[in-house]
Amino acid sequence: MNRFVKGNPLFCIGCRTCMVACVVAHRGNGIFTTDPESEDFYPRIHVVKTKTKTMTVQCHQCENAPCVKVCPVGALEKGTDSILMHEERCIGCKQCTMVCPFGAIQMKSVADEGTVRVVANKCDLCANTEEGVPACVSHCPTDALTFYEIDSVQNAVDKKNLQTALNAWAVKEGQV
Amino acid sequence: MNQFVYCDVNLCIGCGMCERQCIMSHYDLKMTDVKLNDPLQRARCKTYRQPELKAAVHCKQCENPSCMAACPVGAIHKRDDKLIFIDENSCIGCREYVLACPFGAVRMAPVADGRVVATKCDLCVDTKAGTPACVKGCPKKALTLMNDETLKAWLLYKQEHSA
Amino acid sequence: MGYPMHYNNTQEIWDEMRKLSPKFTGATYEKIDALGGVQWPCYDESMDDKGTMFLHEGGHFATEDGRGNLLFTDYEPVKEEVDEEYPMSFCTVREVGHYSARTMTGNCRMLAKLEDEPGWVAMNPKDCEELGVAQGDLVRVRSRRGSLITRCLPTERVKPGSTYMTYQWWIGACNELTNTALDPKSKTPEYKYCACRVEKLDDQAEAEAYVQTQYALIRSKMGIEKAGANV
Repeated sequence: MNRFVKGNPLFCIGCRTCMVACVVAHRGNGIFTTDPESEDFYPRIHVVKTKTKTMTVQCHQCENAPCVKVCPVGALEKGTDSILMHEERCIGCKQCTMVCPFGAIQMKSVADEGTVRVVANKCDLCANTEEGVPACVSHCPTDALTFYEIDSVQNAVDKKNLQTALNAWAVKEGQV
Repeated sequence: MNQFVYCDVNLCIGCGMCERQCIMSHYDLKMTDVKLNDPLQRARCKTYRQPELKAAVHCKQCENPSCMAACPVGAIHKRDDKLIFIDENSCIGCREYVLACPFGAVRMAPVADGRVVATKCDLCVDTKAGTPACVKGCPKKALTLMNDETLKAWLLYKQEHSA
Repeated sequence: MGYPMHYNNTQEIWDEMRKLSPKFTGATYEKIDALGGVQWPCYDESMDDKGTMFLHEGGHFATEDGRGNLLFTDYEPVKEEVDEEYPMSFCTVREVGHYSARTMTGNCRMLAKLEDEPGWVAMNPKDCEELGVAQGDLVRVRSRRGSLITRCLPTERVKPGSTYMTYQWWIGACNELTNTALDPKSKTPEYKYCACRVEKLDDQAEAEAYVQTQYALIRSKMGIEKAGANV
């Protein structure tokens, strides 16, 4: 099953450190020496602030991803444990942006051999960064973001299922 | 009110027959063809058989389900006015539904066409029998299909006994 | 100011500071790194002294008789209520990401990308609709003390009739608007409540140009060549 990052609105304080960490991680070390005016800001994770909560939105690496289905050129592809985005194949048709039910895919401009291309931008679990692990998760000051790895969902579910059984057992007649 | 399968832990012996019955009814198999370790043969309930725990856990078909709100594509809806139903064809496998259930009653499971979808107790609504196989097949009659009538009878029984 | 300093790194500066302050002499770089932070007082350099979690534990206060003094004040209403001329309330807040006056964080290129001049005034979407402004539009916010230009941010987080701004901005300088009324006991100015008016700016292009030139002017006065040039 796919790995993915998910935020917890109970802990999220809306500080947006995750957004900055995402950009810096993908930009690499050159970020501190280039002309600041030339820097773009295209985080793959977004903080949403509503009336009652703040929460992150990012790619859920869906098992039956609708973005993969609608991509006409295979730029979005189901990988072994995530949904892969091959930017070099992207033709900028924007259908993935439209179809994602979470609004987790956005379009960005990239410089490409003298020209500018507009391609889709989504969470890649920091696979293409130096650290190799999600920067948003490691930088969140309140630990509101969790990296769910292969068995994490199953473990979370098993835990709750067992607790349900234990709760039912605990109120068995004849026991206090 | 939604109907749901209720396990009386005073009677349950944790034998797991309900899991087998579930698989048999959903895949039209004989008992001898049931393989509990085949991910494509999904039991939608889970039993526990431990020295200090004998119980079965099913989806409780909540009236105000936290799971339904979590689905971003509307694949979950109330069906026949009596259960919370997952439309597996619409499921995009985002796992929000699975994580939202406070009972851990929903799981991700592979289906024949290679997709991975959310799966849970569906009261055997699309099977041949049309009624929960686990309830019928429980050797200790620990499982009951709770509906308006059976719930009323259950409550009445307890009220009269405690009065 | 002329004092001849030679430090090789920030740790040397900190070591000098903490040697002169008994209350946090124990907060060495190594300890801060190991624990993630040290709550003062922390007197001893050894790892046994991890700092003090509860400053007044056991009820010992820095007063003559060692007891804490609880003071009460009667409720006093705000000094400037909203009225017909200035119909919206105005509050000032802090947001995570930029620090106080932004002299340093304003020159951090990533933080500048996250938020930049002239800042935002948060308003309820109903008020924005009535005024005819959309998200990002430059507006003028006016009070009896002064005015500023900033961008409109419609959000449900604000009640209708209220507004707030973060106080980091140089162009969207919210303290141009706030009240100089002082608290009778503490003498803190009443920064958190005054009356304001939000005005739509018809010539957005002119307003945008103004913001750009103002920003460049302020930066040149501060001696910064380019935003983010330092970090």
